[in-house]
Amino acid sequence: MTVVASARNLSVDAARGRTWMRLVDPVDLDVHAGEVLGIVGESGAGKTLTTRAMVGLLPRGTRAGGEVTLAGRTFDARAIPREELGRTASVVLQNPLTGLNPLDRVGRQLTDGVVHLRLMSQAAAVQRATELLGRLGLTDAARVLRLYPHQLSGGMAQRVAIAAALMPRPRLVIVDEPTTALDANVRIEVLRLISELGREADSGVVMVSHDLALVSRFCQRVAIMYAGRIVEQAAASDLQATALHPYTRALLSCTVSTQARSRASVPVIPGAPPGPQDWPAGCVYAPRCPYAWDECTARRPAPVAAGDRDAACHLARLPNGSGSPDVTAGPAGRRGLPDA
Amino acid sequence: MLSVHGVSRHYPRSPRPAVHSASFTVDQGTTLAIVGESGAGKSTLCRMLVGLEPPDTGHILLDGEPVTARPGRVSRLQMVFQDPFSSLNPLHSIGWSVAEPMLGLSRPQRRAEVGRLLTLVGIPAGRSAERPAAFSGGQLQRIALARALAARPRVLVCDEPTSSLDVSVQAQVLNLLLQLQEEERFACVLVTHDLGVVRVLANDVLVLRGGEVVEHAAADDLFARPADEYTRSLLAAVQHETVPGPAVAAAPARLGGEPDDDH
Repeated sequence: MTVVASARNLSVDAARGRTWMRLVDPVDLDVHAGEVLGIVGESGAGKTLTTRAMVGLLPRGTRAGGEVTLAGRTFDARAIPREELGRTASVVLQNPLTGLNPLDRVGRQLTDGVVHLRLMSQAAAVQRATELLGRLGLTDAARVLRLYPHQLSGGMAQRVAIAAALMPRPRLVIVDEPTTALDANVRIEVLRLISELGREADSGVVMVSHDLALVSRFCQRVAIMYAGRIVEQAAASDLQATALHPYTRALLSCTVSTQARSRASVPVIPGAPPGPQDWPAGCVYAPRCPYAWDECTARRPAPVAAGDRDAACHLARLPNGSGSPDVTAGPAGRRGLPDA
Repeated sequence: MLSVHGVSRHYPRSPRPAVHSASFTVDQGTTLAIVGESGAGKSTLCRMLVGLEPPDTGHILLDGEPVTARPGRVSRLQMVFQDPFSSLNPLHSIGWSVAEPMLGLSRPQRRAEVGRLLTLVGIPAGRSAERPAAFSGGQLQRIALARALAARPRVLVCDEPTSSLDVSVQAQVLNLLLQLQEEERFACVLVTHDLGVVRVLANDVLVLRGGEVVEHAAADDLFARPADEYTRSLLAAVQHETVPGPAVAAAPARLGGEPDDDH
């Protein structure tokens, strides 16, 4: 499969006085054509910063490190040309209204960018905008194009923002928490449309979310982030069948579903993710991990690859069954594998 | 405890009523979940429940008395909102916000009660002098719960209480709601679009569509045998979402091989 975007040693730092504080440790990511990659993690895990760094859209006071390749051209992550955004890559923001100019009609906002970049003529742009809105379920597209953002409902605004991102036929589409404001049934529909339109255009789609259960349904691959690191990457189906990293497993276990027991406590992950200033020297998840032993607090686990999946966990490095530490009575003093 | 009889609300210039002839009761220590898509009338119904809007027809009774919001009085129906950041005053300490509904108590009594409530929701009482900006989203939602409980409510109305929270923090808040309801025995009306949350918290479920109640049933019955076509479509939509399977519940699997990058 063709790689449409990749990141190598991509890191993000924030200015703290005269020093820099690491917010995202170097990560490697590949996004393939026609594929939807999910990036999942809790607030502050660094998922939004990582994807923003891939398109050179970091906030003030932060800097990126490493390299990013977009549509075959490799850039220093600190100097990704601004024109790449809107030409080869585009972003759909969490709150769609923040990406829309309140003073311009929807039609103008959808067409102006691509016409300005000379990607298509005005007439072709209007035709594409109409087509996209129709595909996104806004059947009265001609009327929607004449509306101002304040006249759109939440669901309509999200669809317009998705259409705006897809207008230039970008190779990479980043969708950040695309459905937070939407109802359950609209949410499913919007995610389905994003993955369908991305596949049709042979674009790579990166879906950022804190809801592992939801994005797994629409992603071919999922990367799990925790405290500025990717702790596990795998095909979505593999992740559901066998989570390698204890954090992935914990995330899955505390997701509530309609299969949950009524009026019964939900499993929780004890503690809270550490802030960047408190990252431990070893595994960042060790303080909350029920399987942690000496090795975990002493040495940071590197990603272990097997086939097309990997996990940054000392447990994952051990051969199946043999030579594994006795995690049921580890030196960390924790006994027994917890019930999920 | 809370009984709603034939409540309707029709806004001027709107083609149809926002809520049409809704009736239900919520008993002490139980939770009723109201589900439905945007525009179904969930928010209007909530506003009428807490007395912020009068119904056009029908009546809402709490322990047999009509519910009305009176300025300067603390209502026995309290509400927890979706966004904890905007429901607490950023200029005051969280202790001040939690103490605000406590009328008729001396200062030491208020201080003791604030400490008790913060401890109850898992926030160290020693942090009561800090402002909301010092807390995470999950902590603020717990503080908002403590503030709602400070009024010793008979009914707690929760509008999407966990939808802005991470999955792991959501689990903590859900457990807290279950525990608090066990201890304080308030009735709870929960508005949410997350049917997983409904499954965990609700005893009964009311499904709204276009202002009409399309189904009202015990949660166990509704999830096992949804009677209405719309309820079935709602359930079908979420059941496609991933559910942790039995394999996930096993210990983490292990890979062979060596690290490919030892940074």
